[in-house]
Amino acid sequence: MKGLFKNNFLSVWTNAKIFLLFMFAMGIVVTIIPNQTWQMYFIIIGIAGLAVNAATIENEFSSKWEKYKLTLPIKRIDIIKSLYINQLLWIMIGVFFVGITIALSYLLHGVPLEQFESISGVVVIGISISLTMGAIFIPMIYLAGKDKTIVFLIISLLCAVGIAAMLFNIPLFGSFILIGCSILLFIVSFPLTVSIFKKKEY
Amino acid sequence: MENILELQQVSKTFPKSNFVLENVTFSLPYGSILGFVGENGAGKTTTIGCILNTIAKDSGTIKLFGKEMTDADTDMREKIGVVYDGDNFPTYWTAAQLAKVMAGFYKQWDNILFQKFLKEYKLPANQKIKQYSRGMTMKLAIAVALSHHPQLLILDEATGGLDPVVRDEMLDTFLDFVQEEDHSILLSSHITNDLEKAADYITFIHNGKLIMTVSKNDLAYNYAVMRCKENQFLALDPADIITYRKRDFQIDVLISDCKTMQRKYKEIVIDHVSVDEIFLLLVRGKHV
Repeated sequence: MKGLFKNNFLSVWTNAKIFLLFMFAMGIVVTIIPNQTWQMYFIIIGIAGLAVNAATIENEFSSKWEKYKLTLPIKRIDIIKSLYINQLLWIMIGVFFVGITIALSYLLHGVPLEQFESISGVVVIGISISLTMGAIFIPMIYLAGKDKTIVFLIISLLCAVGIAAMLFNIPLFGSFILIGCSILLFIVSFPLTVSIFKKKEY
Repeated sequence: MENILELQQVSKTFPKSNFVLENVTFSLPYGSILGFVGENGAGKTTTIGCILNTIAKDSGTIKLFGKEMTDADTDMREKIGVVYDGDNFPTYWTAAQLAKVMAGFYKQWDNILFQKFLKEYKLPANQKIKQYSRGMTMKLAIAVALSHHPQLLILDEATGGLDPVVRDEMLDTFLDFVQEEDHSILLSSHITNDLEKAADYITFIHNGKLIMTVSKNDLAYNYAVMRCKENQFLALDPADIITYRKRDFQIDVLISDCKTMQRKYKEIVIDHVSVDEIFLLLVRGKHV
């Protein structure tokens, strides 16, 4: 698994570093100017953006590397497991990154207690979109192949946003239902991708 | 002699294509190089895919180190080095990054050996692979395949598209590798010159069917082509003819027992020919 984690990290890092640079610039603005709307966009873009980066392992498919990996001393299930762990890892990095930025903003401008609920809600939306998007995108890309990366990324992202918008607005427990469903989808997606990948021929 | 690799009646069909790999049977003994020859689309890559489990065979058995390999047999794959034609690795990596990733995969990854190969092949460790030439990319793939001390090397068209100098350099590396008696190489190629230099055995495949497996010595000393005139051809014993091919004013006949034929048909010119010509006669020649 160590090799797979290194492989996944390198695959994501190429694009993620550009995105992180962009987020860093946005983070400076959000820290200096205490605007709740900006903060909300920043949180969603930060978490979901990194998760999209993690899921689009497009470079992985650009060479024979995908086929070559099957000849390495690793099991097919571990390749998929590492992808899902990688997805979770980048969601955590995203949460950590936006968390630090928002905390800095609060440190500079004070804590607006009345905003706490909406800010935490946005974090839930960001995490849920990321999980749902990964849960849909990863099996789809293994099912349909690298040629359809962009279209499936758009589909999975739209589905994830749609599900988030629908469930979050359920009165009282909306955010709990949303995060619960996203986690469930993410869990169910794993054995589905494994079963697709086990039959995949290269 | 014990075999490192054995294929018995391996078959594979593809629902969306007419191609069928049919009952492929051959074996690779320890300490030897087997050249796997066939034109593009003959079934070489499919066979290798079946051996490495990147393709699921429909029937037959494939034994590596005396045992069938499943997805769970990661220890077995520790002992196999693979080189595919073209880009084996993500091209935005550097050789140094690749080494770090590979060290995470192989228990026996030998970074000192890998660095030695990089130096020997003049491959810059910190240059992105996409900036390498094709020859450099293939050298890198071979360096990676050798740096975890495998016993079996499987090379799928690894020398295709390389210039003769690099090809020769690679073939020397392969010959060094099989100096160890428990090391073997399966070398698939459509460049038969490579195999004439390196291979101990040659297996010919055409349209998904195995034509034959023969030792290189047998090919060199016993296989030959009789250059017959029409009346000479008609007088031949059909049992002596493997295949024949009509040329402008002569008929080329492939035979497998040169010395006997020389005694039997004294008036006919018999030439020892290249693997290329034998392959062409096997593929394009007619059977009696």
